[in-house]
Amino acid sequence: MSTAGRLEAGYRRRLRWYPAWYREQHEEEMLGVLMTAARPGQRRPSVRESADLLWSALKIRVRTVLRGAASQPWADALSLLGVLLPLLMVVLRLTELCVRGAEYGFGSPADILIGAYGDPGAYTSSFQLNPFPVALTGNVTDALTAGPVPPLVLAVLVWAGLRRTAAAVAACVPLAFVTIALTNNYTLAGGPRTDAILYAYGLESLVLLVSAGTSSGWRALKWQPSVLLAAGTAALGAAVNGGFWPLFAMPRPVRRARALRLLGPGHVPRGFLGRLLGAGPGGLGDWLLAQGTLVALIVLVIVVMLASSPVSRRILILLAVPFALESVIYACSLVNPPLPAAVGNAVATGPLFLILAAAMMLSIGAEHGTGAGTTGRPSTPGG
Amino acid sequence: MTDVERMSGGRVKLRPGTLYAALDRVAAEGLVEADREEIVDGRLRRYYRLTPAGSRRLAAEVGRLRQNAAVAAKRLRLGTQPAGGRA
Repeated sequence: MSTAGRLEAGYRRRLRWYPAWYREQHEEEMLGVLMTAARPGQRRPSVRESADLLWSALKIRVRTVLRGAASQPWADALSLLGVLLPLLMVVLRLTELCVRGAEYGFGSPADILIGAYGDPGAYTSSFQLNPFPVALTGNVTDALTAGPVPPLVLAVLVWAGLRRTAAAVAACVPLAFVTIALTNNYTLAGGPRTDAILYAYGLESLVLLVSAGTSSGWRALKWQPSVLLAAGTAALGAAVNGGFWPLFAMPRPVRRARALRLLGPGHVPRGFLGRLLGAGPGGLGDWLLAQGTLVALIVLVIVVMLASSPVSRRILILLAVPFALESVIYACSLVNPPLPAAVGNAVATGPLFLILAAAMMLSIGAEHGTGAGTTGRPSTPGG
Repeated sequence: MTDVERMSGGRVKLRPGTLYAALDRVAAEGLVEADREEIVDGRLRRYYRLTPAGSRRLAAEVGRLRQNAAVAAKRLRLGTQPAGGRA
């Protein structure tokens, strides 16, 4: 291959960093500019050129997402998720509250709420959210993440169309949690459920600022997939908290015994995988077997959502973000010997701070009238 | 890119990635648009031109910069004169 051919191939490889719609419109033209600007005898793209193209491609990709220009379903999914996420969190928390309340005999829903916010002992310890002695701070952090009031406030703000206020509230909940937890020496990497909720709040804040607005979210609301998603969320809440027995609980002794024979101690890999999917009492494998019906329902909901529309598929992808981050934290908590508390906390809070920093940058950009896509969708090339 | 380097006396070196990221932004804002294309030495060359909105924005920006420069020049003159009056 000639020197020019090699250089051109190098540029083409780097131009693949740009979105497909952008390459379709500008690749040949950019290649012409790059080749013209190249030094005589240059054989490959320089580090500076590569860094310049990488940064430029990143900017174009971010703008593409923000404008929803290249793909209308993303814009709809962001708008829809902005209004749907608080509702799902309310459903999840209320389900949890009812199941836990019934299990621990809190009585009427009013008693359950009082238990959540008035009794610093029983309700909090019933959630077993952290292994530390329950103190007032523990109660506050659990009320922030496990109680239904924060998502209810968020849902009302979103319903009222106060997008920026709702985004600020969504950002404040995890920030308050992290501040209280870290100043009281809690180890964040030990509470994966808590992390997922924190990330969900961060995601909500970001989505509200990125999306075209809550009104377009309500317009984009597709009831059928949304109801399915709510059902899946309620099922998840029930599954996490012990199940709506006897409505969903399967005949546990029979099937569990059979399944456990297959997954018996001799068949289950030891070490990391064994601990992750441990079939023993309290292990995830045991829990999955016990909650088989509910898990099947959640899987069904996901499959229907995936098949229903491009917008639903994108919503599922966005909803997977908090759970994916939670999985990382959970995997970190299984590392033996355990990670130092500082490292665990950094791993747990790093993504959250990145999400919130992105939300803050968008917010600042919007205030100065330069935030692309935060207030509308300009007509763009490739749209 | 060559023009930018020449106009800035070599202080600013515009790279293709930076140029196209900026072009994408101003095109999205409707300030420039593609004018025409031609093939030069077997390669596509696309020309862009200012839209009326782009011309207005540029004129406003030139006016703003001129005003800033005028204020800076005035203060510079005051700063180089002997101090007088009360502080």
